[in-house]
Amino acid sequence: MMPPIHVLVVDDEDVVCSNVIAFLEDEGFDVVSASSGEKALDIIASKKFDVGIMDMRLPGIDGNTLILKSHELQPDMKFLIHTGSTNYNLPRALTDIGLSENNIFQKPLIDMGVLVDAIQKLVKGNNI
Amino acid sequence: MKKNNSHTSRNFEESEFQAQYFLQHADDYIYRLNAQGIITYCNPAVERILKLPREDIIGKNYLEFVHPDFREEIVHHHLSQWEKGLPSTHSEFPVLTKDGSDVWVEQIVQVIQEGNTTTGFQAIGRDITRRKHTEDLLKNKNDFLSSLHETTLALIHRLDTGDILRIITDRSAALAGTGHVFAALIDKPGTPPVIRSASGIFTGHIGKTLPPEETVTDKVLTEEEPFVHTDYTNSRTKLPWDQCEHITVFAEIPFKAGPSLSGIIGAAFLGTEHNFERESIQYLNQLGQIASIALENARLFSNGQREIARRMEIEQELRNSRSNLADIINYLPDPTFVIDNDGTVIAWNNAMEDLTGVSEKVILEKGNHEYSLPFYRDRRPMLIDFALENNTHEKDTYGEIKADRDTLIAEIYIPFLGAGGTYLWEKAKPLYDSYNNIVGAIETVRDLTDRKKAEENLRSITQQVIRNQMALNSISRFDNTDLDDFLGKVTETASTTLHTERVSIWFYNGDRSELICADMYSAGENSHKQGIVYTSNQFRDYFRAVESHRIITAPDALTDSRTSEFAGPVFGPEHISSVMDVTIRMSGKVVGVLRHEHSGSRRDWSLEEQDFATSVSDAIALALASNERKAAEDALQEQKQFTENLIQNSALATIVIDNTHRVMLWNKACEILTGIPASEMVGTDNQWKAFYTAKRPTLPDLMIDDLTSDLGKYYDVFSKSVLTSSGWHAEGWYKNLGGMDRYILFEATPITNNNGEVIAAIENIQDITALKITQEEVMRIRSYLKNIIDSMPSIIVGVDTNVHITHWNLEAEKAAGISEEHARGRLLTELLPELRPQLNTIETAMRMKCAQKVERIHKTRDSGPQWLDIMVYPLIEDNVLGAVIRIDDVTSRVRIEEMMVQTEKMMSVGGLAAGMAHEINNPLGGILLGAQNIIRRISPDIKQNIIAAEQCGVSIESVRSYMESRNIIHMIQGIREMGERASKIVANMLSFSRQSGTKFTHADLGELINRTIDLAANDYDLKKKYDFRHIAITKDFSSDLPAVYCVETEIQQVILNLLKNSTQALGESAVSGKTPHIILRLRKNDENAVIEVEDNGPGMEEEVRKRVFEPFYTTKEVGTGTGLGLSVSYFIITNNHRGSMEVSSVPGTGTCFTIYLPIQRRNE
Repeated sequence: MMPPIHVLVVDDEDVVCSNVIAFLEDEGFDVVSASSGEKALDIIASKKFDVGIMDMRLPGIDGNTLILKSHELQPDMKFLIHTGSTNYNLPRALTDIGLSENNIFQKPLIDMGVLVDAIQKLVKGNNI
Repeated sequence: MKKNNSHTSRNFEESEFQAQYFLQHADDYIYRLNAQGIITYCNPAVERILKLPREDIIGKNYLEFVHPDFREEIVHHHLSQWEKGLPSTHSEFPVLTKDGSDVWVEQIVQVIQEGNTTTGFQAIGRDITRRKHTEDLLKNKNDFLSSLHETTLALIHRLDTGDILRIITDRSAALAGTGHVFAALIDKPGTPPVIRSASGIFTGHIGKTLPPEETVTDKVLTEEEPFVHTDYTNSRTKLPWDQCEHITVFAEIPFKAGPSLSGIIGAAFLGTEHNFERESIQYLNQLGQIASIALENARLFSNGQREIARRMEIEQELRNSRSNLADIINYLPDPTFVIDNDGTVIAWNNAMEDLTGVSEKVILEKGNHEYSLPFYRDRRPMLIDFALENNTHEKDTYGEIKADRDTLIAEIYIPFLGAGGTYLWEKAKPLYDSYNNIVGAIETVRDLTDRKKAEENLRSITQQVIRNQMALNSISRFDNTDLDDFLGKVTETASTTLHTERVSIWFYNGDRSELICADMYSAGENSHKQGIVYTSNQFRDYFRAVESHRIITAPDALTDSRTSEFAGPVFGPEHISSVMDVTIRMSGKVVGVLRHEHSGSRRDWSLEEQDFATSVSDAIALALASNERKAAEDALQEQKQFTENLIQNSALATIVIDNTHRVMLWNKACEILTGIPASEMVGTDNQWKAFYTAKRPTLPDLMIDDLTSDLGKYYDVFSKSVLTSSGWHAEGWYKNLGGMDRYILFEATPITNNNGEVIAAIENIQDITALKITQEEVMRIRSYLKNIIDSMPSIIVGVDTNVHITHWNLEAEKAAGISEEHARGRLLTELLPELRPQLNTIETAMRMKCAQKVERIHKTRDSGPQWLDIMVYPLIEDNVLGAVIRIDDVTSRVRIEEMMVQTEKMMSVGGLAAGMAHEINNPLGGILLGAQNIIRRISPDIKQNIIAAEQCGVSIESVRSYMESRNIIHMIQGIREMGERASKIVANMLSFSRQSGTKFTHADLGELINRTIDLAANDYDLKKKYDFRHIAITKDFSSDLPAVYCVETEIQQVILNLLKNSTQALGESAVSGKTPHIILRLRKNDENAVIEVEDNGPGMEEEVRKRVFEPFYTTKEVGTGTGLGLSVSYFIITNNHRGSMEVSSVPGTGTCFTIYLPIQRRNE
């Protein structure tokens, strides 16, 4: 049996967060959640993750900063952006560390299956 | 009195004619000179003499025709005639004729006088060349006779042949007048003559034999008669000798001493020397006879047989020669006789016999002034005696004798010769022998009677004619306004002119029973009488005669039956003997008598006098007529004057021309208008000069000639007059007329007499320059305004207060399809019925005097809806005159406004959506994620679900069964669907906000559309509603379309949206039975790519069509559409791509969406 894939879900909206965790756990992922960027960084500092699913609009540090800092902590960690913002533009800093439009998932997601596909592609080292 | 003059002159001409007849047919030449010596008249005889036509003679100085050698003499002659006041002179001179021939004339010159003034000369004369010639010849003969005489004497005593021959040649030379003579002798009968003596060119030929075949010799030998060859140059055979080739005239005279020829005398002329005188031949002949006798004597003498008898014979020959002279004289045309020294008549020619009736036989050899008897019935010396004696002192019988050396000339009247005496012209000259001793005298006379008579006759006629003419002239010059005064002058003038004792004028009374004396002039008393009456009872025959005679000439008035009734009381006291009465006639009717009464001896009234009297009578008749007419004329004149004054003083420029185009009247206003005074125009046909630079007919000229058909040639603007029935009107600009450019209006009318003949034309000339300028300005402004109004994009209609159309511009014509001329005057609502609801507005505008505006009036047309703005402006000038209605089609403006509203709405939706999206998306995410997890966690396919259920003491299947039985799963499914819908709304709303991430690329629209069709075919939602595969898709893509700069996903979204709409629409109309059909077109239009999506679905009502691009507007049943699809499409095209999008639809037929996309990026 393959070692479990470790996923960190960061969202200040508890309902969203818990639903994503529920879905991913059902799909067999090792999922940890955080309700803010700061908390997420604490967790990342102590535990290794394969993929982080980040909300952008967060209390405290925003999603972009979180991703950059997480990347600094764990350079192998991949990221998916799960945002409700309609006018989100991918900053240059994030594209520099390998993110693209395809890493962005617009809320509301009708089928979380797309997240599962994206995580698996990232873990395999593929672009989405 | 013009007519009278012409009549008078006619009478004069008649007199003149008689004189002319005499002049023309006279054998004598007649000419007249004026005081300057210029020839003023000549008769045909002058032309004959000068051999020149009269036109080359009249107007020349008479001296030009006098031989230059004689001019001085002639001038002197005439000057002396003038100075001495001689009425008549005689002269002889040669004239210069055209062909240069010598012509001598003699002429008598008279002085012509009018009053005391010499006005010229009159000459009568004749050609005396022949006489002159004869005279010259006579003179020569005289010489010859002396010579002959002497020669004979000489020869008679000569016995030496050589001497005789020498004398013969010498004398021959003298007689013939040439130095080239010879004498040839025939030694034996039948032998040719041999030259024995010669002179000139023949000198060297002595001893030569004359060739008998030579033309002249041959003829002379054959015919034994003298022969003269005058054209010897061209002779057949000539003398073959040296120098003889120069002979031009050659004569030979044979002579005989017995029965046969004894010799020939020859004479030759060389070059252009004078011809022989014919008479010379006779003398040479004579010489020859004497010579032959002398030669015979010499021969006999030499033979010793000389006989006295021969001498006697010679003396006989001498007598013969005298008789020969008489023969010559006989041929002279003028009467001529010759006397010898003793006064014995030795020649008396035929003409002399004719003149005197005395025969030659009777008078020859008689002396003692026998020859004067026929002339004077008396023996007395005549001119010939003075010539013979060279004595001009005893010449008392002759008035004047002119002497030219020894020649005497005189004129004399011989009372006893002929009937009534004879005028004779005499010329006498002594005859000399060769020693210049007078041996006799010759006299030539000429009967001048006929000439003198002709001369006097001519003078008389001329003077009579001149006198009559002068009298008539003076009569015609009399002022006849006072008739009595006039008649008095006439009688006096007639009396003086005709040297008549009494001249009187008589007029009939009313019933023609009396002749009443209007004036009677008696020369003796130098007094006038009037009022004497002759009644028809008293003078019955006379009254009858007057009716039937134009003129009564009664030389014997006392016995003439026509006038004898007047003998006694009338004629007696004044010893009237002769009467000439001329009737005075008017219109052929006798109205009176002009009577001339001569006292003393009987008088014949000459034709000239009768003519004169007739002329005077005519002058009286004319005076009467003119007097009668005078009253009528005065009235007419007054009328005419009034009319003329009327026109003259009219303020309207007026001219009148007569039917010969001469200006009769040029009034003051016309002078001012044209700047030309009437004095320059009246009487001329220069009326054109006032208006034109070159001669051409003016309007009245065309009226006169009835050439109105030519009006177009001369006038640009003309028409029949509206003011007169037969007049015409013309107008135009005239440069510099009376100092300025004027616009002139002409109005001309022909004026006719009672017979309808055009006798004049009147023209009124009006200067309407100011009016014309105003008119043209008005026209210009009107046209200018019309242009403005026509060029306006609005319909502009002018109406009067009754809403009848007065103006109608181009747009109005287009809109109503009716031209302005047809629209004018019609009711507004008749042509533009859609304005019927606006009548109130129009009425209000006019009533309130305030412009009214109605905006956005909707009107349905075939081509779609139309919106109109209507403005009504009242026209106010004192009162309301009407209104101007302006109608603007604002349809396109309204459309644009609609679109702007649309865009505005969408822009606001976009802005709102951008703000809202995040807040909605989060909870929506929670809902959807939760719903998904719920569905998953009741699924028996997931191991954890089974484990968790078992831990709860139930099987997962039981859970599901329960939830299904309670319909929970379905409800959760519902939550999920509702969440999805909300999510889509938000996503669409977000499209209205500009998204920075969208990428513009150059896209192949055809490929893009194809991909979109595939996408549509697989669309889940579509499949649910309608199977896309059952719809016929037609693609009509133009190949020339380049790649278009656009955001591919957006354009795809738009097209997909349109396909969805069409599919849905077609699904709705599936029942209608039509095959569902979508046509996709792609083409290039200018800078744009055009995409059309057309279906044959149910279409849309206008109200729907208008709103399809509005956000949230939908016709779909609730829950089927968001109401944003077309709005988003519209926004994408218009806002994001700067293109445009429109829709057209016909209900029941289909809908077509059209998208215009700029091919290249458009600068913003």
